[in-house]
Amino acid sequence: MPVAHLKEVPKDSRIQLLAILTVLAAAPLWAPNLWFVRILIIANVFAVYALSWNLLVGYTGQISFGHAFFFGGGAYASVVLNKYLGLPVPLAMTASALICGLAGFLLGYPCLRVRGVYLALMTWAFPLILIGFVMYFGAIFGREMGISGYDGLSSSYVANYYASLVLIVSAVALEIAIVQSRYGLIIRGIRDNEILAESVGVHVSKFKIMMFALSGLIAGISGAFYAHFLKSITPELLAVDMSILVIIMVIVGGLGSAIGPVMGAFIVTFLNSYLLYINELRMMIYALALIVILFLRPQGLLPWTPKIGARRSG
Amino acid sequence: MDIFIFALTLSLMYGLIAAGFALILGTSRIFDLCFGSYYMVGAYSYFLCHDTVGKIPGLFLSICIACILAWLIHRFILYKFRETPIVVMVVSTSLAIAISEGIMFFFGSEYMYVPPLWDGSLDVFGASIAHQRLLASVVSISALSLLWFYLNKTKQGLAIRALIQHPEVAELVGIRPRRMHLTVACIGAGLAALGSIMVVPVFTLTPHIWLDAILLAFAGVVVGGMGSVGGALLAMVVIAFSETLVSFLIPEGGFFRQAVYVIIMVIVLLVRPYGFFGKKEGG
Amino acid sequence: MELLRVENLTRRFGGLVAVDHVSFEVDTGEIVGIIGPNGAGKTTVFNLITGALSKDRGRVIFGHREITDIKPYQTSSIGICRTFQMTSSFPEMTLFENVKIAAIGKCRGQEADRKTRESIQLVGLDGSEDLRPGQLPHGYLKRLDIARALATSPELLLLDEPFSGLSISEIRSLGEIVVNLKDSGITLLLIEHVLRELVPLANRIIVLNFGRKLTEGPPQDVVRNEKVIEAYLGKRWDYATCDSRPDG
Repeated sequence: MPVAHLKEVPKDSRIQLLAILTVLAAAPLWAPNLWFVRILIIANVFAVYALSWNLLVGYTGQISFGHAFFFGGGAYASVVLNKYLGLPVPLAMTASALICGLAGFLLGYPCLRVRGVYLALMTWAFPLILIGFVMYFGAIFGREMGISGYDGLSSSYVANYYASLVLIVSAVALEIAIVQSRYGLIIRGIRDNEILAESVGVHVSKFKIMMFALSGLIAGISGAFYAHFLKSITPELLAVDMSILVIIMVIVGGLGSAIGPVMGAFIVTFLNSYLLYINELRMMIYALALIVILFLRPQGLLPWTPKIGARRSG
Repeated sequence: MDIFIFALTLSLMYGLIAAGFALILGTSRIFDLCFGSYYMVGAYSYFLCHDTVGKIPGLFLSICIACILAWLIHRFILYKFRETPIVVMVVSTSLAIAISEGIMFFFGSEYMYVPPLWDGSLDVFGASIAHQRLLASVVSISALSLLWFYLNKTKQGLAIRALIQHPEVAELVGIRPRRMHLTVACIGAGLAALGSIMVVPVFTLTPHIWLDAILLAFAGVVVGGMGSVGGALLAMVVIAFSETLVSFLIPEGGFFRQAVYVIIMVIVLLVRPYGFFGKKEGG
Repeated sequence: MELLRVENLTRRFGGLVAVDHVSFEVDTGEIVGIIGPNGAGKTTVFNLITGALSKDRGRVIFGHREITDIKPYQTSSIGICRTFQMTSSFPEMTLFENVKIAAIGKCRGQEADRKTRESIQLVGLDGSEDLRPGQLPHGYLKRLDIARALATSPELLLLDEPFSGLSISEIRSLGEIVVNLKDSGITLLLIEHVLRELVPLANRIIVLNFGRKLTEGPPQDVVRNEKVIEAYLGKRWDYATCDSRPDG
């Protein structure tokens, strides 16, 4: 399950994908109640978020410990555009996705200068700048209370569900398309051996920044969808927890494949919803689960991880 | 003037925290993001027991609790993953969040006030300085000098410095790395707990303060260079002065505290990706 | 015809002058060897030519273009490709993908696949396309490095110690591959640690020592040069031992 590289999607997993898609498409028919549909929608949104992280980390090898920057940033951007500028929801979501893509593009530049743990430290800290702004400009962003009272999605859960399904299917399709194209080979090359990739003509910086932008865009749209679905947001969307949650989802599901992160997101979201009565301690459960998984596959889940002080060859 | 004295005492208090983290990182190359938890656990245990056992015994008890926590986490979890720093970061961050949630579960997430070790305040050149700040400065200076003495004048200190400078060779000449890692993790956690008991009475106690501590520690590493204790201390001077300036100049600038740390870190990473006092590693 | 000209290349690392005013030319269709003891600055010269390191002084001219300020990723598009001293590959890719990533810089679609296959064939690795680098022996990895470089369709190939760690028979067959590449019109600049492998192959040999060019000339002259013998070999080198090597 860990690093399954899809040169092409094998036939059997194509059938699997189709089967999963059919089951999901029919979900409103078999779901026991609306609460279940609601969980499925959130799972879909988180799956898109996990896919965005996977694209940057699993395929391109650029570690991000601060993806909440894009998720929470997308949520806040869309809500502000909708509430204060009166943009209709679809337009606000698109605009916020573009803003997040641009943010990824801009953050990609400083991230080129650092690698490994320093990159992790830098990305870890990025969302905290946004939290500073949210807290400072309390009149707009509502500090700890967050924002509410903006437009939601459709009032029908089923319509919302299909909207989220469209989102996740396009994200999966996009990811598979990228990985199968020549760009897939290039970004995996960057992940596996940057210097070697450069020596055979890969413009490493350009592709890294493109992936930061694309990953930010996808995470942004998932955050915006989440915000409009829940109809209220708080700075918790920007917190470290949110950045770590996506990492846990991807590690649970398997890194560097298109299906792994989706599975991980579903597992974590359902755990999350059914463990709701001990909500305060759920991170403890995740942390323990994560440690167990990592103990069983020591080093296996992040195989290209650079060691501190590892030297370049050549 | 009061800005200057505030910033100076603040940098001394932060120095304890940053030095602890730099020590752990330098010796064991472990990016232990639970460091913030030792800081927080120290503060909460002091909060719990200062009434029953008294302030000074409470201080020592809290330091011991933080040390034990650090020993457990390093011995049973982080040491296993030491070869892969990114895994260490994922695991320790989720542990830190878990610990913070545990504390929220037992204490709630309200702001709490921790009484200072030494009440009252003093007028220095027209600025009113709380006794706690003076005490904290004295304690930091003595703790840091003790640390310096330990690192430079004892056999164990020599072993630690050997590990910082060349882990493989140190191992070859018979330094037992795991034992040294655990010792250093305990010392680092102790410094964190001591730092928190000094700092927290000046600010407030919430289950989120681990973030402050870990950001200070990051900034120490990034500005000061990987594992350099001296660099971390100098970095704290920069941080403390910028933070004090921001909170004096911008109304309600306190919200930007963390953002200030982050911005300084990012700027330094851009100008000198290996820190101002660190040596360049690799290519 | 002159293909590559290096003028006064200089690079310092702190107080150490790793490469000190090194100048040389490489003509089209030549095999030129660079030799020198460890730390003589051979690999640094490669890094300076391809832009992996910045130059303190000096110019590099390729064809009629000045490429002094080139970036590593641009070199392959103008027709220079290098290999590294340590065998390096993309561990999570198959051998075929390892070579294809180099081919897609210049070719698209089917064309890239054809180029990839051709390069793998040229170094004699056909049949192992689906294996991963971890499953290949050292000798294959050395050839994989060359195949990958070939897939960028280079005019000038910079090989960094292609023979290191190989057995005598592997050295012989790789020597034949190098000669075939030369015959197909590729110019080669080789770094070697030991003279023996280079003497039968190279048209010219450049000797570096402590970052300086000691001498340059046909292999027969270089091995008899007193300065080279003194600085590099320490004692007189017996030219007869290389008579059994394939002829360049």
